[in-house]
Amino acid sequence: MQRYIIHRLIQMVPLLLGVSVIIYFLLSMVPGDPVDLLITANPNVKMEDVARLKHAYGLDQPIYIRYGKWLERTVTGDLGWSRVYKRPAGKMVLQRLPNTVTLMSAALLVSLLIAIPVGIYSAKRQYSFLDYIFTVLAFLGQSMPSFWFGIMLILLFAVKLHWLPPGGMMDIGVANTVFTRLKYLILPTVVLSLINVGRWARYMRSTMLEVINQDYIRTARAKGLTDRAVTYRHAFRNALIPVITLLAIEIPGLFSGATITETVFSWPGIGKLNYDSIMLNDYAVAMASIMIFAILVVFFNLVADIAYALADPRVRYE
Amino acid sequence: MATNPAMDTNLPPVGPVPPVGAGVPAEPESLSYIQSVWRRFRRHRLAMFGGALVLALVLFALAAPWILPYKFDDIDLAHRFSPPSATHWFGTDDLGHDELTRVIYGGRVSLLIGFASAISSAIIGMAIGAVAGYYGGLLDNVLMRFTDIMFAIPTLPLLFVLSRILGGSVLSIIVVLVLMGWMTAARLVRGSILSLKQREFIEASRAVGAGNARIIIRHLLPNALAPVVVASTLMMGSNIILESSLSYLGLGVMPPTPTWGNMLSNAQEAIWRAPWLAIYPGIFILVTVLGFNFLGDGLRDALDPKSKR
Repeated sequence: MQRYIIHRLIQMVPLLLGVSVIIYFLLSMVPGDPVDLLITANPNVKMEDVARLKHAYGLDQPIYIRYGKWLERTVTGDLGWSRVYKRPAGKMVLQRLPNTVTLMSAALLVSLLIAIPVGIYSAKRQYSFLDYIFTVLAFLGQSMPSFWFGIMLILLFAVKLHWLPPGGMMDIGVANTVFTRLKYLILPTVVLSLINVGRWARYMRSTMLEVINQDYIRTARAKGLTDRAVTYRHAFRNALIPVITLLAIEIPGLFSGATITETVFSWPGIGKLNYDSIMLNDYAVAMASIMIFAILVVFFNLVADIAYALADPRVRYE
Repeated sequence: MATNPAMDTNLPPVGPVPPVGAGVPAEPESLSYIQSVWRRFRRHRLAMFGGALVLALVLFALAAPWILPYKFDDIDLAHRFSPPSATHWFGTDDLGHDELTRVIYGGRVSLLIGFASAISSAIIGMAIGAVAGYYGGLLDNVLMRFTDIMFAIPTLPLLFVLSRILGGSVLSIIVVLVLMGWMTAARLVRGSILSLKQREFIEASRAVGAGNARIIIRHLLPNALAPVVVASTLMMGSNIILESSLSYLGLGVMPPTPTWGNMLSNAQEAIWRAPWLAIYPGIFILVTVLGFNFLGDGLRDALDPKSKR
């Protein structure tokens, strides 16, 4: 197992290098480099100043050399400076990271707390009225653009009812307690959960259905075990294994979802930072925020594979 | 027209159906396959409903210029932000545009983007996946490493960057979505071809002298088509959501061309004054994507009854 983990960690390196190459080259193609933006801001700039600036920023060099320099600095922990905020990009990303992790953990928790019981129920009472209702709800959830669902929630709970704040993490003059902080978390969490909860419930249902028809479940029943013991001790635990794999595959989707959700609710996380930085040509921050996304994605994939091995004793990585 | 009795009795949704086109697809064989698919599909009530929804929306969108009393760019500054009424069923927006008209015209753009991007992604992905799966070797390796890398980057940030590069026209959004979308089809087709090319019927057709191109196009691709059709149908829906998300964030199609996304972006600014503007485009997205998802779900059951979800 240890060797497997080390092997996987080593494999991450070329993968992340690939990601950084692609993102770096794509970002360099976005119209408007820092000097172009300076020129549009100040029409009195002379041509020789432009050339000097381009040289100072290293923009007169070929792209692969610029990438090489970026990589060199990044390895030493220097992610460059934000063009817009004049602050170190790495620091900005790390500051926002906890906010995104909070939101994502809350959404993950809510999604699982709904999806797993619903999936089990639907599998046990297949084709029942409630199973049918859950199916339709799952389809509705998957077919809704999450930003629109967010707008509708703001319309109802903030504009009409005034129960919850329309966005942000905190407002000036609001008592900073756990309770008020939770109020800001509710709507973004609901929106981010919506993206996955339907699909996960459907998935839980189908893996559960598959397990229920296995011979060892029949054996367990034949032994005279209670329905409860069969469902939770035998069926549920085995049905959970494929769900763990699914979770890993879905984590990237959750990051994308966080980008939209954070933007709709002005939640100061990495997703919003990433969107703002791409819109404002803030290259260092865009690069840093996408890279941290990619690192988290790759890392969660590994975590999921390990969790998979721990959950299923038949799986042994060599 | 030999119909397999097993197909009739074991419906729905899973039944022992013989492997699809196991052999050179002769005419009656392929006909009965399509018939059995249609039969399974027809029994899938939600799928029929989804298909009807999509069809109705497409017809409305196509007929828009003839059935609507207004044009999408008719400006009426005397009636800005008027609430839904008999003359303007869905009300009017900040420039006095008729909201219903813009929703239907927005549907034209959104549906066009959904269809065009999903179909192009499928065609390009199938071509790349087929070549990689059939020939293997370096090309296959490069493709697989490339898709590994692309799947490690969350979709939306990548879409943001791509649409910043390509700009906000209908065509560029389609290109952006295809750049992101072809990998799904490529992986599916590669996977099917890897297993299919080992089968006897491929060896047989090679023995009778079929060339590589003929084997791929006539024998391998038709047998690898079903999962791609399902994935593409679902992609039409998800690409409509992606397009609307991009347009909502100011990265997609720019006004005055109406799309459901940029209408919602516009609506959020006026949410206190004209909340109805935020409701209708979203409902249309929801209904359209729901239609595609029902359709895709039914197609999955009908085309590939053994598949698990």
